[in-house]
Amino acid sequence: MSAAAVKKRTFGVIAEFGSAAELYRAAERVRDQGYRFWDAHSPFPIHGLNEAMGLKKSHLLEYIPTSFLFPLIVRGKPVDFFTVPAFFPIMFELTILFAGFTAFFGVFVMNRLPRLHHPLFDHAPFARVTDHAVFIVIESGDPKFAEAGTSEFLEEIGGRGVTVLYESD
Amino acid sequence: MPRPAMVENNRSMHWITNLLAGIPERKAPLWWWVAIAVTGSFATFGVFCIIYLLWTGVGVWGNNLPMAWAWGITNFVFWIGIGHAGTLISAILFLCRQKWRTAVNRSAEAMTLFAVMCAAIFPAIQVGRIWMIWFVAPVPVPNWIWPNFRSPLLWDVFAVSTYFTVSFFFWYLGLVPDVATVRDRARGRVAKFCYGLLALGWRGGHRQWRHYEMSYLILAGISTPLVLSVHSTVSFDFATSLIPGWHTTIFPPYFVAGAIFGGFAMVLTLLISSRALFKLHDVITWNHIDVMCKITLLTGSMVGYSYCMEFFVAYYGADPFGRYIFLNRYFGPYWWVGYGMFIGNVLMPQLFWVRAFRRNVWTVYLVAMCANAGMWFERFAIIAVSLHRDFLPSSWQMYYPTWVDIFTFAGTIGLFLTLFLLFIRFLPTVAMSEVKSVLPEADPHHYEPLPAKIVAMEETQA
Amino acid sequence: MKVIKPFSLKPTVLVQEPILKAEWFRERNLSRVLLLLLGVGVASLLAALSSGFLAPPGSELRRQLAFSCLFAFIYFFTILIGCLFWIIVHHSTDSGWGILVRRQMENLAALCIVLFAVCTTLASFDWISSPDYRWGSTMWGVYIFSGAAGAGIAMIILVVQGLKNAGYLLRVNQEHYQIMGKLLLTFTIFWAYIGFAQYMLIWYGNIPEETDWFLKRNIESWNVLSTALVVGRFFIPFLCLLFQFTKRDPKFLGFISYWVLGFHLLDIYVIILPFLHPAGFQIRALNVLCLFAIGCPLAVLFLRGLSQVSLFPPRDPRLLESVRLSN
Repeated sequence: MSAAAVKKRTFGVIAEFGSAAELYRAAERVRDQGYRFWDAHSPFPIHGLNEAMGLKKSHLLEYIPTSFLFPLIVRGKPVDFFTVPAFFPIMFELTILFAGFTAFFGVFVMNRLPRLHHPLFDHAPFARVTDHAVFIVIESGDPKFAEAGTSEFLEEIGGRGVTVLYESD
Repeated sequence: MPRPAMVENNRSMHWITNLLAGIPERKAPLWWWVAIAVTGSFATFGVFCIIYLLWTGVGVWGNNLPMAWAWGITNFVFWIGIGHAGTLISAILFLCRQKWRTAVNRSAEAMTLFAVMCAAIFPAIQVGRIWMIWFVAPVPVPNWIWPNFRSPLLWDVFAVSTYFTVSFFFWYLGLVPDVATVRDRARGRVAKFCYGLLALGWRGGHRQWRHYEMSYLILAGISTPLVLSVHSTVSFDFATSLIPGWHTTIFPPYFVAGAIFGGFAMVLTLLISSRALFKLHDVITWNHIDVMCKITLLTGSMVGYSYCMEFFVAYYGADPFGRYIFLNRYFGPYWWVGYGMFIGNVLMPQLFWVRAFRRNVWTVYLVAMCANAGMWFERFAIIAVSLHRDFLPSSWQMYYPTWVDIFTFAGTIGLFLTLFLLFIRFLPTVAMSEVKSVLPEADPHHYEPLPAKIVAMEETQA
Repeated sequence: MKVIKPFSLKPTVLVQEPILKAEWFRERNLSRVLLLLLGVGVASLLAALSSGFLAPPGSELRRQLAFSCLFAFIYFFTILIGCLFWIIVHHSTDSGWGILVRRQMENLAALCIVLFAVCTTLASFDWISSPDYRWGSTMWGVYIFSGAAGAGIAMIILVVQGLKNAGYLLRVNQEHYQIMGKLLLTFTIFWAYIGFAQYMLIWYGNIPEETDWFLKRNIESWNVLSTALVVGRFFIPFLCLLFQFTKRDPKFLGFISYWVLGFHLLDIYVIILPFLHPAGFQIRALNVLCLFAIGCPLAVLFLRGLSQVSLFPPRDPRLLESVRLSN
């Protein structure tokens, strides 16, 4: 297969913004435009961005209660109901342990991490996302995505360094 | 009235990244090599002492009857206590929305993990026949009998292992975005690979931050009751018994307050040192140290209240054995332990009422060291001094530590410092993403406070 | 900010203008309410005292009076001590969120100006556990404190809500309620932790001088009340306050606060009255009378104090933090 015949699939468009406040306003515009497969990248969590992006709270909180069921099975031989105070510390610790497992592994499952290769890492300026830069990335999977139109839109709402990203091989 | 700035001198985010991510990137300075050589050798000798102990038996320690628990368990409680400040800073201060915690929480959490590791060594080696230690696992395999779930010693096993696990989760979760920072700046292939693996592909997208923040909140929410329950469970080791100085209902909150106190003293010691060595003055500011000193003062006073309560009830209750225990603590052959604990834990921190002492590096260091020593003395006073003269005068004995006791403890101090030195060499010691999130420019609704008209008027003579 | 000449003979004062307009408690019917409260209070006090003094010597009634007074006094004392505690916490943490509601904390706590920890502890031993002098628990002061702090914040919530319902404190919003609800939750958990630790250690050690206290409170009909206390003072508020929407809803939070105050009443009742009625609890009118006798004058003092100062500090430099609060 010749190199010319291979056309890389577009992953999306990325634009950089100047500050958290700019990103917030831009995010509101992107949301209002109707995009759904997009994300705002920053070195720290920005408060209020949930509303600006039109997202709901994380569902992690709902998985915690189910882990409370585990300690009931693992508990030792119950000798007498009235010795409840003596069993209390262990039951309490186990409850916390299982809630901790859920919270910790849940976050990685829901973020689909670890994912060591991602098209974003191929974009050199993106390395600054963990330093001080903030970005908006709109993915090509979004029904409203159009390579030229989306790039222009991002420039219009204040994005700099608008680049089209391609999927990694 | 503006709050004091979290990061002084208006430093930008990029400057913060350069400062903090720069530490693991640079070659290790000479003082680091010297320090780790010293602490490493103590740790190694400590390992040798432990092997000697396991080979020969617990007789190489100074334990006797009635002092079946002496330095071993004192050190266990001491280290577990130190770990608690880390969880308090991470979890409880997070729930109380104290933004200043962001400069100190990563080191404090690391300190927790290393302290718990050092602590866990002692109950394991204290049992003597360490190859039987698996008996504590909740499986009914040895002789088809379950372990005794109603014993506080077993509660300890569950509590400490849960504490270590959840603290590790909390620490690692917080590290992921910061390791991603170091990964993105890394030059060498090995560095990029290792940090990349640890960062798990973190991209900083808001969808990821959402779940991250929720998980952080949940872990903080469960760590709070955890830290209270772990040291309460450790105190139950003593309080559920019948020994006069041990069977005291105030032990759970007293131990927790003491743990937080000792832990903050250790945090202050470590942070002031690393702040000076790595020039982190703008990130770990005097305001941070000031607040930590105030917490030290508060918890030290709570510990002092507990000492007074124990004394009061010993007097008020009609129990002659209880009364004797407290007279013995301050006037018996171990009087220097009693005074050491009172002065180090209650009197010295009172210096922190004065603002000048909270802001002077030498006084803070002095009080922190006194607190560290005082907490060790307190554990020894509770455990060993209460044991050495209990009900039967014919059983009374003195306790003298052997060289194995002393060097095992020194070895754990060496282990703790070695691990901490490795941490500051290879991993980001300050939570960069969290510090950035409390800067004013991180707020998308950054507003200027309303100008208030100041009217000057001359007060007339009434 | 103008710099004022520092060494002038006439002292100069910098006065900051209020950031928000002050709110003053002005109710038309206040004097009538005060009169009514005072009337009920004085009448209850007279009725209680006279029943004690006019009783034939050696009768049960005098002992009942003593215990009823103690019961009612400790109930209010603990609530006010709790409010005082919240002011101490507010100031020592230099808190921003609470400025709008702090004045109400101050109004409540001003009714009780004693030194907090020493007084609570000595009070708890002298007044509460001394009828059983053999019993000593080093946790006792802390236990009384934990109940007090919880009841204190419940009272503060109710006062703030009452003022809001009457049309004042317009800037207090759901964010403030959420924080107060979180504090109520925290101290409900703390009370349960302290109570459980004390109970478990005494149960485990099984020393007769110590277990006697709980045995007395677990026999006959006291058992029902003790169990109800555990369920009602901890489990129900805990489960209700865990969720965010309950803490943000003023009506629900108010209901929970009433609940907590009610079960605090039961807590004090279970602590004090078993000394008098070891065989089982007995309903006595004197208990209710003494509650009114002490509570109504306190309410009078509070309502009067309410109108003396603005309902929140308008010149506090951190006021905006409290107004713009977002969780």
